[in-house]
Amino acid sequence: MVYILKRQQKEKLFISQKGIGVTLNYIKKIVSLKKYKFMLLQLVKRDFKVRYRGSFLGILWSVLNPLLNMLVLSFVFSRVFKAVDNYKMYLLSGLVIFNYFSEASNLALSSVVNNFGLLTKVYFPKFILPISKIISSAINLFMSVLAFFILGHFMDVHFWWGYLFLPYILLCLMIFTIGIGMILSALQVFMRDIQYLYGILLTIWMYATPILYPLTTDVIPESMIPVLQQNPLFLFIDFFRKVTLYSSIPSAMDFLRCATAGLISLLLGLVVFKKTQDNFIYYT
Amino acid sequence: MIQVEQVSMEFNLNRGKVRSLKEWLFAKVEDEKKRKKERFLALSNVTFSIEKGEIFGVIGKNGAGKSTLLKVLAGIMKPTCGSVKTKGTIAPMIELGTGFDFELSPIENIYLSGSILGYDKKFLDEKIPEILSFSELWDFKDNPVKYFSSGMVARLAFSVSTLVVPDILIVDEILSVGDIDFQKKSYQRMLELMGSGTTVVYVSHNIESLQNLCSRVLWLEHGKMKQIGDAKEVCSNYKNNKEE
Repeated sequence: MVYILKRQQKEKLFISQKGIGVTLNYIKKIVSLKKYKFMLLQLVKRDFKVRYRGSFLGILWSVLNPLLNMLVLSFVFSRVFKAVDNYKMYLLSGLVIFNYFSEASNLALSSVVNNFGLLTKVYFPKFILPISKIISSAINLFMSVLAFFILGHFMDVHFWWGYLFLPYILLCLMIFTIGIGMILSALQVFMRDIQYLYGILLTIWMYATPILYPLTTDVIPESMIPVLQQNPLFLFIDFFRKVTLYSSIPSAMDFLRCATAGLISLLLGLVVFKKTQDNFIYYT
Repeated sequence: MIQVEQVSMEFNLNRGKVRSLKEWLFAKVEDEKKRKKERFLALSNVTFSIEKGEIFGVIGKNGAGKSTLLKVLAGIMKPTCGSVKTKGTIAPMIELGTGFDFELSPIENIYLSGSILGYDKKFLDEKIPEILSFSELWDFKDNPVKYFSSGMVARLAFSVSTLVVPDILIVDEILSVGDIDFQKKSYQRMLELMGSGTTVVYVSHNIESLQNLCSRVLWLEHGKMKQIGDAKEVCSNYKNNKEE
């Protein structure tokens, strides 16, 4: 009996030692990430500088692009979806979120493949590559949210304290996009078809998300509504609309579901990326 | 400082070939045995250690595994088996111009490339004048690198790569950069680095420079260690072997 107890104690000790080891490892990892923060910043800066180099309007395009997009679409569809109040802003809110996701995930997809030159020359944590794309696109996202606010000012969408929740949903969206971006960038290394498949998937995804149309029974068959509601991008868009267009606070369930969608995607992304990253170098 | 123990590096020649869905589907049908044959041992059972401050040379023919060895040392590739232990900061100069973006100006490129090589902002702020002087690019510091001649790019790249005194410097044949004046200058800079207590692993086809610079040399052939030891001895053996 005493022997067993002792053994248990020993095991406990062993486990706690192991626990300390693991946490130490994590701390080491985080410290080493700090070292690469400057690199991440430089990569983001580079993207930003190169993107608008030589264009006359420069960063203004980040604002104009969603607005013009919205104008064209609303010109076509505002007659079809007459029932939606303030259709222009309804459309713009969906476009702002979806365009960010589509742009960031597409850039992340090719981020590893386009930087093979770096991977074969120096050692650095490879996931910096997709993450830098997510962040540099986020600058675009903030510009287009700004455009949304400005237009909203003239279109009966006004500030109120509920806007304090918007950073939360944008963060969830970014975390979600990081996860997807990591998965795509890793898969693209092994199979270059992914970019074409993903292009098609994105188109389907766009139409499966209530951006152009409302999620009401006169447009969507009733049985399809619960299915479409599972779409993580719809969760984010719906949250955004509730706060901005309808001046209401999303339910606790909405908060939870958005965070869960983001975290699951991030976790999946980390697992896929970690499992495959050592093999990237053989597929250059 | 650097300890390499029984390192082997095996490449699967089939790995990396499959790139499209179609190929992937048909590759499944292929004979498994045939695939197993297509393996290539780039390094086999390489063991050596390098002391702090030593200048260590590596020679061998093309395809002997020199670059693979450097990549394993720099941590870019993980060896199939065996272990590599290093202490201190490593500056790999496997190729010049790591992470350059040709749309950007020299200064922007110094920050970008420097950050990728692991230097921080403060350090780069201080070093920028030095780099621009050394590479003789003051007049062009705000022009995009895409308009530069290849010699100018190489000068900039060399200056960025050698801007710091790391604990371990990994050099893969970079002294033949730019015009003759710059070559002399860069050779001088290498000597300076090597004289300052840095551990250097130096790969070259130039037997004379290896003989002059290195204390010990490793001779690789088909991924195996053919000889290791005193620079002069190994180099003369290598030379004789070549002439036969």
